[in-house]
Amino acid sequence: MATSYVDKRDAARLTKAIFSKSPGESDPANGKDVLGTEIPAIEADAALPDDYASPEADRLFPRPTPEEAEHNLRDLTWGEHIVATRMAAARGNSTAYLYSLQEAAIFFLDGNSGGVTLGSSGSFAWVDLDRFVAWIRDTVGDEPFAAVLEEKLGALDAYNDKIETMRQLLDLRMTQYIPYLPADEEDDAGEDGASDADEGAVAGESARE
Amino acid sequence: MADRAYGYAGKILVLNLEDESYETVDTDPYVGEWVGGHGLASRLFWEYCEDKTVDALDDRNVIVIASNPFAGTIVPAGGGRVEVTGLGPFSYPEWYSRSSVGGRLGGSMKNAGYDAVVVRGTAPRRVWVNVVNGDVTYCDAEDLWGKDSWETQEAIWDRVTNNTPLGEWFDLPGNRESGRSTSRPAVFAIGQAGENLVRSATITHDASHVSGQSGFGAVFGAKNLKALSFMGTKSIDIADPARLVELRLEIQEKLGYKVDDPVNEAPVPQAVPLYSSLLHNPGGGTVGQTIGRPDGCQGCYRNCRAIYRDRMGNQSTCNAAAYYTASGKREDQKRCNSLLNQLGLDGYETDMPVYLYNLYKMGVMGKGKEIDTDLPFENYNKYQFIDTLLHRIANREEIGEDLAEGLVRATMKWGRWDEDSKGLLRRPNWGYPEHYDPRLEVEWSYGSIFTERDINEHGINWCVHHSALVPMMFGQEPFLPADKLVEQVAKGTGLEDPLCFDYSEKGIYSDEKVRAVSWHRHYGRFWIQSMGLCDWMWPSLVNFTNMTDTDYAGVSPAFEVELFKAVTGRDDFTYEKSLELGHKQLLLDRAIWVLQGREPETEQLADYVFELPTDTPYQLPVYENGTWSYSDCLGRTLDRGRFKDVQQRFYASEGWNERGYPKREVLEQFGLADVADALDAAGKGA
Repeated sequence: MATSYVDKRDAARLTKAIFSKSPGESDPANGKDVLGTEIPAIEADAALPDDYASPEADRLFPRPTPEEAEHNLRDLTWGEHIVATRMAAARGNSTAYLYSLQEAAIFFLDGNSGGVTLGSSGSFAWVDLDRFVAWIRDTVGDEPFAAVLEEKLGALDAYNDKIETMRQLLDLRMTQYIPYLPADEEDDAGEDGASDADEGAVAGESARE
Repeated sequence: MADRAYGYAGKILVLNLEDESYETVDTDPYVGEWVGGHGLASRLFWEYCEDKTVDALDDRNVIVIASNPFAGTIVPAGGGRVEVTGLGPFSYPEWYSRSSVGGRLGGSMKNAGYDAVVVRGTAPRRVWVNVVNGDVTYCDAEDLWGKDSWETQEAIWDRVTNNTPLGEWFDLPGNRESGRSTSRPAVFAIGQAGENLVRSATITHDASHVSGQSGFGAVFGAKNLKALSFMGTKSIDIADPARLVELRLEIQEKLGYKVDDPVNEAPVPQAVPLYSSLLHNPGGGTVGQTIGRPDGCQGCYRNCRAIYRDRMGNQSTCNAAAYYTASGKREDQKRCNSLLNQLGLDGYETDMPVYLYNLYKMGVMGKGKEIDTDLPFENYNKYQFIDTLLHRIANREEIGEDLAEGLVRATMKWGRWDEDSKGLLRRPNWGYPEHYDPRLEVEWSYGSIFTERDINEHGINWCVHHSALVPMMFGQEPFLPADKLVEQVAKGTGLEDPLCFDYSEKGIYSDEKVRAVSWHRHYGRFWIQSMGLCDWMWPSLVNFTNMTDTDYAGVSPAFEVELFKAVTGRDDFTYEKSLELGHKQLLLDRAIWVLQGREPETEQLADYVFELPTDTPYQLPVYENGTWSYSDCLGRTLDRGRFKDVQQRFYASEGWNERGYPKREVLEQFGLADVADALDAAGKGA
């Protein structure tokens, strides 16, 4: 059962992908028929079922109105961004420039920042949390979220406790924004690179398997 | 004593691409003083590159690929690497440079009969070179040109093995003694980026072992050389195999992660990958909970990489593993890592998406903008963006024509370097991206600017920086108190003075620090770059994996020497001798850089290093007011005047004059009179 924004976002994508397919259509990822029974197709950009709402989030924050969501999820410009740091063992520190609430969610909640990563290349997200709260409130414009962040983070001392709390709150808040996030298009390979991942056996597997 | 030195194949292959001929020379004259890897490669470059001042893509440039006595053995984290040297096109300006690559290339070269390969000239047609049990064949590569590095390797596997299915035996060419194998040859191939002379082009081996830094893939491309392939059944004599096994087991027992019953573990699941640089847990994840199977270089028990069911991201590690994270999807991250390796682009040198996106957001770059490009910035958070960007760089299409020259040269062309190098674009030395903070971790920044490239040696860095930062970020105590840590690091390096590892504002300019930088360069040249020990494990200064309150020492420096003796049989070899040989290699390299035009004035770190204070916590040990502690080192910059003073003291410690030219008396003391003569002839004698 999906429990977080990331899980729910991915589950929502899956739901959209399944609901937008025709009966009998195969999933190109695994070649299996993803529709064993007949399910009526719906519009790919239809609002998500309320199943993805979070009572936890609703207890903490009022749900954003469509207008508030549109404003708070907008793309920001140079100067409105916030800077964070990805601390990685192999790479050292690298600076991230975040230009929207959604980019912040990707940075702080994605698998890499959270620790699920490739090989031995783990990383840790660092941000000046006072600045982050001010950015949410003054630049993004999500005052209810900023108020809860300020209250919860103010009660903590250790950085790890604060960032983990921030991540959990961000996760919950983003859950309420899921219905307003742009549809994710699965096949988004570049102009001439679409075939790279699709071609047959490649070096690196067969030599070692 | 065998008919060739223990640990060696005994021959060096010299490829003359111009007429597709080759010759072999004995390794033996190089064994005593140049040993292998970087030392061997630098000496061969010195002898075979007749004009060391030419451009990297000139056909007079020479590339040397050199294995070492440890390659192909069971030396832990040391059996898989080879060194690549030559004039490199990436750095600004170009320098004689180096790179190294892991996997199974070193052992395969020796099994095929050669300790090193010298590549000279430019082939009249596109070729790949097939080396099987000492036999060398130039093969037409016209049909491989345009293929990516994975497709190329697979095509060559099929040709060398006569299309033998995986897992089945095939006979190697020749007589019955040539042997049989089920292995694939070890292929070292370029992708489209190398063919198109992209300055950040790599040479790829297997899925994700690459000669990354320095742009040697472009040199292969300029030479019309698509790939080298090594296959063989020759064995290499080891002086004392029983002792080598004993040492291997002892090291593995002492330092190895106990999979079934770990001594130390990350405090929370999300910390597991970050702790892996210290704990050495296989695959970097929690055993049994990873999505991949741990994988490593030949002979390594640590297995820091992973193989995945969908093969995307196989063996990925280091910077390229996290090159693309903007979509928030791990599958895109893996896919992008593989794309870098397939196209043959170095993920570190091509580290530019964030900067380009900033220019777009600033309104400087984009369709119809000052820097005109139709890169799909509106899809920056989708895989389409990174796929398009990397293909354009590799193929020199549209904005890729500028970016293929490297970001420093591109920003100079765009007129943005002077402004952006003050902080927006952090390229502290020679055009390489910031790796570790040059204002604080100065073994890294001094070592990089006084040599040829980002040094990329983590041995000290894991201890002094990560062992404090990582636990503190997760609300834990550092592995060791600062005083105990520096005491142990000083002991493990043989420097014996904890002040060598003081990162206070005073400490980073001290004589002790100059001594540490000098040691780091000599140790690195010999043990990491010449003997192929992996810097993700060596030097082994602190045993974080199995640390207890009273037993936390690593195995350096004693075990490096013991391993060397067991493999080579050189029983009189000492740690001091290894550092002396490292110093000797640096003298030769320095002479090449001086011939290329190196002067003190060219050794300038970027302006931001001196002008922009640090603003992110960066734990390091400092000695202040008579006590050791960890500092977050905020608000720090380097001081220009004190940096110049360090530079002069470092020159003096190395036996260079005030212009940084190696002194004749020092060169002669190391048996390098011919090098002193060459400097004299160039008007740069000292």
